[in-house]
Amino acid sequence: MEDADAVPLVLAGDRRGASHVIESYRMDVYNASLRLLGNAADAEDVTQDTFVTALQRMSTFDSARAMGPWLRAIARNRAIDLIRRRARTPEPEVAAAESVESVAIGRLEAEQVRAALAGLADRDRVLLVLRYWEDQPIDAIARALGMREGAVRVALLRARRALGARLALGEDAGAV
Amino acid sequence: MRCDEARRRLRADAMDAPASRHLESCAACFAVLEAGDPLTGALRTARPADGMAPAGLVDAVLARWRQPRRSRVRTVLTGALAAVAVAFAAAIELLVGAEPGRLAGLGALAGAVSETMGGALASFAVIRAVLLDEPAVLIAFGTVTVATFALWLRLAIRPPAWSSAR
Repeated sequence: MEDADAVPLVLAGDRRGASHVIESYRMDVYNASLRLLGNAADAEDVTQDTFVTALQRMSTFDSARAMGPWLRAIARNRAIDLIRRRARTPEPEVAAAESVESVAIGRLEAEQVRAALAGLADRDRVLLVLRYWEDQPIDAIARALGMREGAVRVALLRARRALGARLALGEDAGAV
Repeated sequence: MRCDEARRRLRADAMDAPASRHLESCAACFAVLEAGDPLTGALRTARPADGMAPAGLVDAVLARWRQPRRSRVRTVLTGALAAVAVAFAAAIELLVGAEPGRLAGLGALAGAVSETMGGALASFAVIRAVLLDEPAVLIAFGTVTVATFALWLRLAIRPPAWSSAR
């Protein structure tokens, strides 16, 4: 079955169409949610919500377009909504470390970067994930977060600096 | 502020307010700063590998999915309206068709309607005669009509399981 065949089935209430959509895109949607949320339980909830929403709003889907990006956009919006509802207390400002170049970027392990990313304030983390893990353009990030494009550019620069500061702190701590 | 000045100041201090205002309106400066930031590459490299989606997802979603009911409501309403229209037309034809002049007293339009319907349904004159002359046939005909409509209504509201097999 192709996506174009599944859409009318979903609109008619046929479970075969719904099953096709879920089976085809479950990995995409789940991993997009997981990258933003950072934990499997929340990602599973958002994944379910995404598919339920998509099935109920299938009449708004443009069959001429690919379904994957549409579902991932719903997932991202759901994940961002969840993050906003569970807004953490602001992270204490990390003292400005040395310049980013002083952090031995070349020696950074991916796990170190992910750990530092997880410790950032929610908005900074979401910005960096959307830009560098979800490959979203500036205008899409702006729409998703309700920001102006110019504000997104500045916020991304500052989020990278915040990440660099956390990584530098980690390097210093490791060196002690 | 010139782009090179803004980039220099932002590389030194991301919180520089005038340079930040320049960056807000300059996509080119953003692209240069992003490309020149070693953390950009480190972030992309650190993207986690895809994990397996949880088991049972299909069943969980289908259990929560409220299948469209709008089409059923529309179907039932359409059918009900059609049944009423047919019954009304049949009643008019049975009661008035044989005597088009009966409604003349109600006005020219009513008379015109009666004559038009009498003409259009003229081919059913034999059936009408049988129904009116044979009450048993009329009762049987009415019973079959009502039973058929009831069955159709039942199927529209609750479709059989085989019609939406998984």
